[in-house]
Amino acid sequence: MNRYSYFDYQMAYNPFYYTVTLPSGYDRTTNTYNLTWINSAPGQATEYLNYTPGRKDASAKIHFQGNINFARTFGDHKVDIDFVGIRMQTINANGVDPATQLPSLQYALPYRNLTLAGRFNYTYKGRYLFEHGFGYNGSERFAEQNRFGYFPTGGLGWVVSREEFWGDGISKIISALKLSATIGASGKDDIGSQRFFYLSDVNLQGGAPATFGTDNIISKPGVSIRNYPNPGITWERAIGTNYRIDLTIARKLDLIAEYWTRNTKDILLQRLVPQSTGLEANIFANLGSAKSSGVDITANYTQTFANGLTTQFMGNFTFSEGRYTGYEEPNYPESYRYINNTILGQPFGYIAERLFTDDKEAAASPKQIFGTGTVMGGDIKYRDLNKDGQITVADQAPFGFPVTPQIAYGFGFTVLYKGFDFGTRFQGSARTSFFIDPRRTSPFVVGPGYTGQTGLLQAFAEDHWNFDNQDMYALYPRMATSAALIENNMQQSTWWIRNGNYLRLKYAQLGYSLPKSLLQKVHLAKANIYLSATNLLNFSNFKLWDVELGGNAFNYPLQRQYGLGINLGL
Amino acid sequence: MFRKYHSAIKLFIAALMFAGSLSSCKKFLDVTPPNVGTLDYAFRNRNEAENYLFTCYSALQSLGVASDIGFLSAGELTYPVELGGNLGVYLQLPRGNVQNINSPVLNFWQGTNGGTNLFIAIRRCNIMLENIDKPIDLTATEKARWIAEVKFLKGYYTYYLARLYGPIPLYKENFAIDASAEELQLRREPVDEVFKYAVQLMDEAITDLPQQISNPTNELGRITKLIALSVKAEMLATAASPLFNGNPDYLDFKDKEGSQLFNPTYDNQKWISAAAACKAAIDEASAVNKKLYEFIPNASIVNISDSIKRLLTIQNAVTEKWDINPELIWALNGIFPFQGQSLPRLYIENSGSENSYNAPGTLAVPISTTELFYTNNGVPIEDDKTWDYTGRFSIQTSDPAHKFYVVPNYQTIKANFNREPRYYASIGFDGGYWFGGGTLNSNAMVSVQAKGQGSISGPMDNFRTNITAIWPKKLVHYLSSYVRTDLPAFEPYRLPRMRLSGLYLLYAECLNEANGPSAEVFEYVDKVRAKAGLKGVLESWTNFSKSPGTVSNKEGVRSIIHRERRNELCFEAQAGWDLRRWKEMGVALSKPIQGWSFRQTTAQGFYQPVTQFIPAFTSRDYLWPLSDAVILNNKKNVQNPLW
Repeated sequence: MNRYSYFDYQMAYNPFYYTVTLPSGYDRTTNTYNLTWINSAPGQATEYLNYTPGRKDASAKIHFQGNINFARTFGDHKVDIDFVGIRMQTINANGVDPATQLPSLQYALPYRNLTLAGRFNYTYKGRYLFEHGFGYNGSERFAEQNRFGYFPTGGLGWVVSREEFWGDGISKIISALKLSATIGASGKDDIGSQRFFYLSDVNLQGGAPATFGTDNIISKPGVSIRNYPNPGITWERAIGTNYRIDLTIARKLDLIAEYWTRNTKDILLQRLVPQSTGLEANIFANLGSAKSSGVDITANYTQTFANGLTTQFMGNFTFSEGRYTGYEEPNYPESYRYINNTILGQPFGYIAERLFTDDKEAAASPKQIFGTGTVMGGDIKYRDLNKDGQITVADQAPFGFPVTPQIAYGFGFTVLYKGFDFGTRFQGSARTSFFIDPRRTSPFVVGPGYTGQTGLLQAFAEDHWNFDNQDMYALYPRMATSAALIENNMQQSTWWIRNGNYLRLKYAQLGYSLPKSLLQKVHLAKANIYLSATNLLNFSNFKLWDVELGGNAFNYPLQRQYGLGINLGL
Repeated sequence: MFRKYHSAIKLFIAALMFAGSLSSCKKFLDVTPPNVGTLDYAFRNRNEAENYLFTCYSALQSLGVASDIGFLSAGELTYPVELGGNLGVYLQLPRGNVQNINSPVLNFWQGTNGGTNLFIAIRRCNIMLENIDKPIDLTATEKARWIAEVKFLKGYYTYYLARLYGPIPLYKENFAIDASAEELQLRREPVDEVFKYAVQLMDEAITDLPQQISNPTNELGRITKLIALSVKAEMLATAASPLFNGNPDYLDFKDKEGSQLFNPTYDNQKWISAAAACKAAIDEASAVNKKLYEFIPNASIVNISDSIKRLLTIQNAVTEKWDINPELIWALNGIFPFQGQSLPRLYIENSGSENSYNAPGTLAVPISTTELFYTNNGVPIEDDKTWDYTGRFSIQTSDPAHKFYVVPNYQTIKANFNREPRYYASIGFDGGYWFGGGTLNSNAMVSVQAKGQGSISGPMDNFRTNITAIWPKKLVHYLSSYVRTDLPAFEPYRLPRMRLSGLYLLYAECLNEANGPSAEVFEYVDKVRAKAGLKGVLESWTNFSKSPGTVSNKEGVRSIIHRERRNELCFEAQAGWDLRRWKEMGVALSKPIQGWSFRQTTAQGFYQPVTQFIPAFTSRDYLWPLSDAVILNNKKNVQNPLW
């Protein structure tokens, strides 16, 4: 059982705000200001503390679990059987609908899951492995006939190096070798935003109000529909396979390599229904499918030399890529608009050509209408991919790599010699892109979630389009005082995409342990001294700021830390 | 012996227990209690069903000026882009760089960017009509009234969509949610069909609607017979207007099956039906004692001259309370939201007060709008042979003849003199008196003085500057006040959607289109002019017009009625619709949107027109675009021409 509770409150002064009203408020000759109090209405500004109660949340979680295990060895045969039953419930005291932030009956009902899982392992002579497992899972979110999902798994393994033919000669070179393969199904019930797919969610007391009367005194909240019943919705299913080699070479190099695939189907997607049907909520169905695959490799190498020098190397590498294979899409007249078969997470946007040289060129080019600002010289010129004379969503195409890296890798080494140790750890990622976020980095405009104007980055100050420097490929396009005026330049486009690859020296440490002989004299069990540092070096194509900050230069930066430490053991 | 099987038995018992717990667990996942609200519960009794009736009305009440193309798109008013908000975006429509197909602004098809989703509204009306028999305690009379109201609403939503988009799909009944894609994908019906269906719904509604609201305290705003009759008249007039009646521009506008969506043949019969519908509405209006408004001073007024009384007759025909305004046929229940933006600062102390952010006076009137109003001879300023049109921007100091309109000895321009009362009632200009604003005494009126920083009404920071230095006085109730450093107090009012003057002019327009000029045409125009203190059309044009022959032919009289309608209904959210249906928006938006040099403090400097922007209206803007997503989600949909 687990109970969670949360509350907060706030005690604060209401600040006094003043302004200088020009021209009478400022006297240039004496350099004195005349302040006008802005929030003078009663209660707006106070010198005493105010109390505001905040959010109060509580939830209770109950988890029942039963296990049965049977493990026996009969000569060469080894059997291991396992059953697990789990019954879970979570209740939130404040059933708040995350979509509306309002209390709702459906969200006050308990969240429940039932699981019966089993596993059967059989090993013959420690060489041949067989495994079968299953999961039978129930979720309260689906209609009765779709509530349970059955997800079996199976696997085979062969420890080649334990075969009798694996003689001493071979095992000196390849000391261990294991091959294995598994296939399995899995399910997910945490899909979509609806609480119960099979129920309609009708708000009989809100959503479409009207008011009548000479003084508008008669008001009724109206009825709105938030969800249509859809008893057909069920588990999202995936079938995964995994092929793996475990290899040890000369007892020094451990290598694990895996290749995996995953086919997901029944992904919950919104149906394409004409907007003019007047439905108040979107309709979903288990329609989508996607495919992904990847490679994981881990290697460790240890070598000890006769003179006491020990070296260790370790490395890891993962690659993964997914693609949508079944995504319900309209019949686009433009082939590049289909999401199907694009890389999962690949950004869509406009193709930026360059900046407009002047207002005349901007006016004569295909219309780019974004917001109320007029497109002028120095604004980004987009390519009219479908040649219809205007830049619209139909000109957005996929480009670049996903923001989540497709390749992540790391390596490092440690050297030990006579009480000294030196270790490093590098990490990197590749096949990834990120966007400079123009809404948060554009100078002088107020970014979303901020109250003040954004500062001016040195790089933008030095290289931006202006009348003196009409550089069609300047780093930053035309500047403006409000985001509404340069909405054109804020669109996701190739102008702002950058290569997100990097390699970083994440960690390095140099240490020295005092020799035993010395320790005994001072009656210490252990003593070492070390110097460590994080984020020492960074290699990346992008120089303006740390790639790991993402698109916003003003995010809190990664810190470089140095440490000097002494470890004593009595 | 049993020992050998001990563990197996234990396993067996455990498995039994497990299975037992599982079977009870089927119930464990049934967490939803019975009677969770579904749509059926909305029609269990009269009270719940009335709530759903309000749901049907809900979309109507969200069609106020803040999203009304009639108010926003005609270039009657302008507003700084930088201030954002509804006005900062939607009032920029005349710039021609706002509307788009990615995410159309004021999108009433999908209910985004300020628009209300009218297809949802129509579906709700259908749901109400399907379920109206269910409430057990609903009387037959009330049921008939509700059905009539819902039919009116469905007809009005259909008409609203037709005005915007032209051809639309007609969902006369609802489809099941799980209907196939084929069934759900309806084609856009030709405009004639759409208008026919909307008018048919209106006819069905009219019989069962009440003639009067018997309990206005609780029900004012519900639809009456008169409202439905006048909306029907407006629908028929719209269908008869050049945009929809034989418009040659849409000859090639066809759907994917090749059917023509606009009938290319002009049909005069449409105007005849429209005129008949107007007459029916006018007759109904007299039957329920509607008449043109006349201002009656109340006790709070210290002193009022006849000239000012005339102005208040014009102003208050719009701003008077609905239940006591005999001219007001239909308004929405929401109150007009932009009085603070329309009110200039009228006291020098206003400027220093933080309260002025509540009355920033930023809604600006372009010079072109002020030039629509007639001279005091009741003819257009460019057409009056006694009025100095070319010299209208030259400086003139006011004279005693204008002592109720212009501050004595104040330097302003010629254009502010010898104008019709509607000009002084509608426009707040530099040097103009402002009866109201907290001072209700025609011998001690406050005035607009807008020359530069430091003047009473002049520019302050970006949030409190009127960029043309001209204010829409008509949109401020005369009892709304912002005195010195007090908190601004706005007298609430509802902007009319239909008032008797408008209906008279519509009737005159339809009659003239149907049969050419006649005594009856002039009779109805002259009624409206008389209220505004002007002589009749024939007399005024004969005596003062440079081209007195205008009154003798259909085209001439058409131009007179159109101009009369623009003056009489200026700022009342009509021009945007009228100019569209007349196909005159292109001409109306051909002039630059100009204002005065509001930062200049001298008369010479101030009265230099400054161009705020040059409108860009093209023929595609007559119909609203469908978004790219709407086109893609229904393979039978076609985009509107040139989008």
